[in-house]
Amino acid sequence: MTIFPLLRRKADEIKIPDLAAQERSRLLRYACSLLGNRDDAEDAVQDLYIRLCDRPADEKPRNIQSYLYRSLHNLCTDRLRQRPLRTQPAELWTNICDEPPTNNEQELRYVQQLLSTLPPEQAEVIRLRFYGEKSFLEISTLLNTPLSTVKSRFRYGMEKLKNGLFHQSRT
Amino acid sequence: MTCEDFKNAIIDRFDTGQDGRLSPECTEHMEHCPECTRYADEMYATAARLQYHLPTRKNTPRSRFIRRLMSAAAALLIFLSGVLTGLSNLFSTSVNAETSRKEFLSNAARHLSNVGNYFVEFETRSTPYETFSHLDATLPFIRMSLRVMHQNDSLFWRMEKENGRTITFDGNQQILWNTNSVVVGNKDVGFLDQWLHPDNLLRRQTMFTDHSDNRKTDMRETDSTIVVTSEGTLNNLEGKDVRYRIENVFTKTTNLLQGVRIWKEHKGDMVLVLRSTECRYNVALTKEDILQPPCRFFTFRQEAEIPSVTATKKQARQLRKETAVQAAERILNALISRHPEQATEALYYYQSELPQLMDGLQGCTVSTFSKPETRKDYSGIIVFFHLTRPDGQTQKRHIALRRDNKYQFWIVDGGL
Repeated sequence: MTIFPLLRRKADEIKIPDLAAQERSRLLRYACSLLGNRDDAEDAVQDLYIRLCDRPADEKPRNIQSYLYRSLHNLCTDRLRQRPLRTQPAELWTNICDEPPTNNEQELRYVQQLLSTLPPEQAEVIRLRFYGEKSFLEISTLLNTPLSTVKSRFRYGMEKLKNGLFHQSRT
Repeated sequence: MTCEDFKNAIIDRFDTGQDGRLSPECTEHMEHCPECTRYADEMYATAARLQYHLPTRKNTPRSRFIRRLMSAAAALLIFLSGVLTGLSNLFSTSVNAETSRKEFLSNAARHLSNVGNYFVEFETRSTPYETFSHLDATLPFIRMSLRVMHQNDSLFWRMEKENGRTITFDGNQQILWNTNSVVVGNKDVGFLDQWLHPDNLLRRQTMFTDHSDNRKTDMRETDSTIVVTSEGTLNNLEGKDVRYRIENVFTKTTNLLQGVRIWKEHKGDMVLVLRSTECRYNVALTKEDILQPPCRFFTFRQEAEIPSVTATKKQARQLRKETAVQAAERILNALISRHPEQATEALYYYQSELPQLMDGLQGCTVSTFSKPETRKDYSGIIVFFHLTRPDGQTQKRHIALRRDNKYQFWIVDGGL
């Protein structure tokens, strides 16, 4: 099954902004998991869209999906760097495993905090799998990384999170 | 299979396009390797903890001044709440155990609704084409499954009885796949009994303790699980009190539902009528998994909403004035006399089964209609009657009718 019907078209027919629009919800979730709040994530996705519309029509990246997620990742990283110091809830700095989140905002911050404890390459695979809804094969193409490496990064990342969540809370 | 092979196989389960079911080799390995069983459970639970719902966007950007002002207000609020908490602790009574059990169930319900995708398989004493809540202690077990998928803030689900009734929901409409007919309804149509609805799977059970008489709840812990048991009586279709016991088992570390069992009283004994055989979280599901039609041939397709009725004003007025008992008598006699056109509008949901219904009622007579009865959890009414077979045998039967349609006519909703 092809999740993205646009990908079935010939490469010449694909308009990048169209693809970005179709991928919007996945891009938004991916950005949310990086930035930890929806407002900033929506702004980042909007910036991405503007950037895509401004591109000369004849310039086409080799792998559009990869280009979209890479660009969004860079935009989110820029935003995180530029972000001024802001007041953060105290629970973010205490043991995050103690209490499950109780609302959507907390859930998102909780996910962002969990993933920030992982090596970036492992967190990236988990983000693309769960929030970008990409298969391991698609992730290996997106990241230009062998499939076996993608799976092992996913496994080690998940195991670290698992150990943090369950074994820490038991002790 | 080694433990390493098992762990690799589990990772493959997280890929897209997987149905979440473990291979027989993995299942066999889990049977004699508790470490790997725990590994799999914790991996699924970790994936479940990574799910989130997108928060709603705040429309007005806050200025730095407003943020500071709100920080100050929040600080004041925290101070005041600290003072009030101190006072309330001073005057509080001991914790009410029943409340804590209900809170636990409510929290578990919230956990369940936050999980991305999940798959629950049940065995239930029922028949393939009865409603999903139909539990009969005298029948053998049949298999039933529930698949739930969250995607892009939309909910998809599929409830299926093996080789029988199936309901699918694509975020907008529910489709009921019956014996040989397909009924399409909007998202609020009541194809699925409320307590089994994915949005209510545990919430309704929390309410069970409130709605049932002589209720009794109990919560106990083992090393790895928390078991919540509720017991009480509910009125059955015939108005008799029937005792039920519901047991929910939760994994201690995740508070996620691990299993459900329901017992129903039958001739003085509590008989197990529903048991879950598998609960899997964060299984990879696709829309096709959820929405594909059952492997059967369907000849009828109809809308759940009753289409336009071509009745004269006089006929419409007569139908609206009809009492439930009068309607029940007219509908049953129409079927017995093989003239279903005398009750076309009332038999709308039975169009595909009319020949079988008329054959089943051939030569029968109906008598002794009861007063219409209502139930707390049903928006229609039930009329009981005596059905006398051609061989002289008499049975007590019922017919369920409802008139919550735009024409306010009585429509047969069940029993036949």
